[in-house]
Amino acid sequence: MKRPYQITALVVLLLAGFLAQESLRLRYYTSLGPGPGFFPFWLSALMAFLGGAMFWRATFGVVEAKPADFLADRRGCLRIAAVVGGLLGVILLMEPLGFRLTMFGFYLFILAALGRQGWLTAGIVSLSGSVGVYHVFVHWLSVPLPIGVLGI
Amino acid sequence: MDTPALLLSGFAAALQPMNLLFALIGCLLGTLIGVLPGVGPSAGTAILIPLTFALEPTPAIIMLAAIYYGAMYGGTITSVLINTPGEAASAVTCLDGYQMARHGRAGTALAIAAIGSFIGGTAAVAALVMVALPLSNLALRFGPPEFFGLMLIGLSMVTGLAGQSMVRALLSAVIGLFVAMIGIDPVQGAPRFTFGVIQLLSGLNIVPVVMGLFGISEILLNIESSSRQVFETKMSSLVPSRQDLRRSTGAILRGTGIGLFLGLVPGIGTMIPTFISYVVEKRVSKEPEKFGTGMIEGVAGPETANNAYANAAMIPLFTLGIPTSPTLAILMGAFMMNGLIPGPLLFTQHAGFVWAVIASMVVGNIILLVLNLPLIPMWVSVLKIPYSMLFAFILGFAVVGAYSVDNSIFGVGVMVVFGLLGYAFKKLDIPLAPFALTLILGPMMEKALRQSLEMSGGDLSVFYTRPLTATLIVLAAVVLVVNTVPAFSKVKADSQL
Repeated sequence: MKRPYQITALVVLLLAGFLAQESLRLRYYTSLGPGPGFFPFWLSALMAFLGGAMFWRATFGVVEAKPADFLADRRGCLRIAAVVGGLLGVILLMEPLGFRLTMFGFYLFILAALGRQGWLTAGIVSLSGSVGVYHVFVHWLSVPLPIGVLGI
Repeated sequence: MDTPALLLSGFAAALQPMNLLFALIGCLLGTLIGVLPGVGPSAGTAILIPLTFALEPTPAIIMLAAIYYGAMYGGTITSVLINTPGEAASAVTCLDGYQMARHGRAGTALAIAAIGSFIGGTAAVAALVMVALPLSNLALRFGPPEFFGLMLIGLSMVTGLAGQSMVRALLSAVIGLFVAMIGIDPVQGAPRFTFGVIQLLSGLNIVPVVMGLFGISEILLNIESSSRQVFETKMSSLVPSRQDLRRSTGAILRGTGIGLFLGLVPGIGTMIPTFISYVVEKRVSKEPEKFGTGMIEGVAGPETANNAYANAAMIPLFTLGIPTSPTLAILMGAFMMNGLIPGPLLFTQHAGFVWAVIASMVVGNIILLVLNLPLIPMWVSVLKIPYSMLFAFILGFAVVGAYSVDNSIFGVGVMVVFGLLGYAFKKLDIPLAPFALTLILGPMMEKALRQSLEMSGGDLSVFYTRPLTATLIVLAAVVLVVNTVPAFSKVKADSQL
């Protein structure tokens, strides 16, 4: 786990530098006490210290063994990509296409990506997850969900 | 009104048909979460928060609390039947529970676990009832400096939630604090870390953040591997014999004491009480060598401790507003979404609500005892549903929840971003619990600190001249030292290996 922690520590140090810079744009102290920049500044300093400590331990300390499943295999990576891609698709399409159509497509896609179901099963699950859930949330729980340009 | 009268009024409210219904739904959903390996109580509670959006605060919190302690029951079922803990606290139950199942005594193991859980859970609620008013009356004397001290104790608990590395735990806490700072500054109204994004001005809503961190990240980890357990164990009679009951009695009593005490200690986590109970049972047993082969005490003690702990952990949350675990931090977030701040003021400003929720916990424990045993075959059949279908439904539900928080697709985006962050944290063994705790407590602490300094005109002596504040700050320091010294000793010992 040496390399992953070294990379994480460097990302943390960069983030801490950026956040410290942003904090300094806010008022540090006022006549009544700490301003909006006080806490963020000291937190970014603490973050930088922790990033440095992580780098030091990863480089010079006892190296923790990397778990066998630290990196997913090819199939695992594809599944993760499918779920993240599906969710990004929902973000892009939900408002123009509406909840029911978008989620119907999302369920079909996820079911195809994560397992092998028959078309009938996939269709029933997708319909209940989209039209069914829409009905429950909108009509029973009074939670509004988007309707798209097609009116569904 | 005194405690008995308040509790009776709480029961009157908790037993109203609608509240009873939501306690029942919460128990069933909680058990389902507990049954499903890969969906822990934190993820499950976070994902199910949107179900309560349309509800009044009382049924909403009754349902979420029932989901929380219901999950503790549910985890036992898979531990006993398929040797896979549904949630971390039930891991130790695998040792003897699964062996009992292999010897055809699965029903007995589950029945004893349910009885022990009921006794432990109910005893913890009784303790909550007894200490609630005295503790909250003490806390009512708190001004901003005392609240700052209290929040400091809460934040110092982060060190107790550290897993293998204190540095990683603190890093998680600091990132949580930064996320909590996004939005308008609570005292002077200046925007912080919003980068010109209008949706960030009101801050990040806690629901999509925790749904992503705990829910989406867990799903991503689970779908990495395609392996799954196949249920094969056969069920037996659910009625324990007289000998089983006799052997379990002592274990249940000891488990109650252990869980109750550790529920009050910050940062313990759900696994430690069950493991301590198991070790104690093994020590007091006349046949310690038989542990791991299907000893009923190895199921009764830890399962009792588990539920006693889960319910006792509500005591610091309700009376002082301190969540001691990530699931309770999420529950605290749900309180806040309903305009309720857990802590002493809850008992004076919303007495009807708080006593109804406390009474519902007794009712919920009875519901779980009565309903769960006959429903075990149903939970077993849930395990036969293909994981792809379960995960698709959970993802779909998470999308609805994240969207409906603000009726905006922005929430779904936040959930995805924090899902990826949570996945990275888990891969790097960075604990998520400190993140959840600071996300909730951080803004409250900053507000208390700045109000205290405004009160004293910027004079820091306000923190050591007020006896109660000074005591709380010293206590926070003690928690910090108690938690960090063993951690750094371990680092030193490791480096000498």
